[in-house]
Amino acid sequence: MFVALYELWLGQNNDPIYADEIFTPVGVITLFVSLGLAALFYLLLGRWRSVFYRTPHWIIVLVVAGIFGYAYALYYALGATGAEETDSYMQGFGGINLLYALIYFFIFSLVLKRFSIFAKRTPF
Amino acid sequence: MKIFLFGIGGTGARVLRSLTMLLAAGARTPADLTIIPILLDMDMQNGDTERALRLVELYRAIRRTAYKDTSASQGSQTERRTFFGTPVQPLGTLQAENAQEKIGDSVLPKLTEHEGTFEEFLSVSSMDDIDRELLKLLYDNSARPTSAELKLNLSVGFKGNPNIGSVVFNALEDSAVYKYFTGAFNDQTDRIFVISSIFGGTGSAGFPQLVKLLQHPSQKIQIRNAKKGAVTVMPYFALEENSESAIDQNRFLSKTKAALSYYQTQVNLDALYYIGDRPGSKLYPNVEGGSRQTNNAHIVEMLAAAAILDFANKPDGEFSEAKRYYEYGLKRNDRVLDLPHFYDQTYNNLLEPLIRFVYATKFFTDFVPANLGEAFAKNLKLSQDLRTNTFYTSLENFMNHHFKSWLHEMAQNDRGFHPFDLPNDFNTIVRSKPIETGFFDKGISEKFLRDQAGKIENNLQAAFPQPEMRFMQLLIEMAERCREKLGPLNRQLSDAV
Repeated sequence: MFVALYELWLGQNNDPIYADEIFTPVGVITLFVSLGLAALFYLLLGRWRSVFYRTPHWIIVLVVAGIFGYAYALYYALGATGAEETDSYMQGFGGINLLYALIYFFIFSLVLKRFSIFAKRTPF
Repeated sequence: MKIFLFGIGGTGARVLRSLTMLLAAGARTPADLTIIPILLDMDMQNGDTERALRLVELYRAIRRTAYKDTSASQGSQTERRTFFGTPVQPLGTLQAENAQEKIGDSVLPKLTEHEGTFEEFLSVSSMDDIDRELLKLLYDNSARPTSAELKLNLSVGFKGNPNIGSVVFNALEDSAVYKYFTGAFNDQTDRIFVISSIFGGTGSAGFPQLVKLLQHPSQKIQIRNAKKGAVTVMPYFALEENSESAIDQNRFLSKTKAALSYYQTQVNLDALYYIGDRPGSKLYPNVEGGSRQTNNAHIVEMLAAAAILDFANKPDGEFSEAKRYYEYGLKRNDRVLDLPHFYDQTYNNLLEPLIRFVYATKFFTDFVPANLGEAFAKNLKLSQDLRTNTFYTSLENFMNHHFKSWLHEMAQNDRGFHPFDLPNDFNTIVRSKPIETGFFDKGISEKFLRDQAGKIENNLQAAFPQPEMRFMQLLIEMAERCREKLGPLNRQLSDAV
């Protein structure tokens, strides 16, 4: 599923390692980290006290999810391919993973906000 | 149990105002109590009466939405009926047997259809000469506005003349309101209570007449056998000098003495409460009646209202021949009273609820409008409803205008009752005990209130799907949390006076 999601935007890479060893683990980890961040925001902090629950706080977590998505994709791809530097395909992969991280976090936000107390209406 | 509460004259209205405040605060009452207030006053435009009427209307509007009066909801274990818990119902809304005339649903039903002077009320023009001359012997017939009794316009009451009021009240039995009352009074457990002043006109005239009527052998047995109580308010304020006014305060004490000696032999009730105070330095405007008569609230009125609750809380077995007269005492005779001045019964039954209601008022009027973006406020749709929904506008009117004014007036009066500083922050509202704050504990802070409101509202969602009912429960819980944060109060009076 993840291979299709990434290749939809990036196209196929000549090196099969992306399809075989990179897309799926990066996609799964990104998905779970986004879920973890949303759970941290809505279920842990959002039910504990009214300290970190407003829309600006949500945007901060969103940005963190995005940064993680970008950085982790590059880190994983560099490690898996053994390349010394990133190439344009790898950069594009980081960008798309960033976008997916934002989308996952947004979707998890919609699902989890109802279980929160203070962030029940965040971001809307 | 219903208590039919007759409030006679301006004092009746002022005590009803205080009673409404105490009921709103959740003063201790029997669980099945319903109050049926009936204001008896010729002065339909009286400012004090008008204010009390509006307050009762607000109380009823708030209560109607905050609680559902069904047996299912009353049995609900999660619902708490602390604020606005006791039903207050106008007489006209009760079912009455054989009532030929509807009296409307006002707490101030019309006492008589008569509009005009005392002379016209007595139909002096159609009297024989000899009767007319006799009347002139009994009543001042001069044209002087301050003393003319026969020419007195009854639409502003009796202007401190019980000799006029007693004649008018003699016709009470034939009035539509009294007939409706007798038709509605059917339960063996129902009780009757009368509020009146002893030094004015309407109250001191109406009280003995009403008691006499209630005990008359011609009355139905339920009324004659009902437990009856009364609070008689003796002088507690002084008036400004006004040579144009018919009200002569120099006669207050002599009228009181005369009335007391009459009551001693003629008034026989199950419980008779007397309350009064040495007038303080704050003089009341000497207004004969009408819309300009809006006296500031006084602690005596609140304690007179406490007498009603004391009567309501007494079990039937506690009434006895031996103990029927009650007076009120404070721990110390200071001119400004605070929470430690009161003994346990008043403190536990009235003042503890007032502390909670003060916190609820502060929460609703100050905290909520500033936190409409919070989840609890959004869940309750407060940003849309706070200024438009009748429940919230009534609550705002009750708390922000009426309750705060009532507390302020009592604080400013002499004798003053000044236990709260509502304009202060939450930590310093209760004057006798500021909440100590430190680096780790900020007392009742904005954050504390946000945390509590968020969690409480979240917990209430399942049991109270309707926002207004949920909001009332939230208010009750928030007040409770604030009270817990305040901790135990030191109730010892300090030496400083």
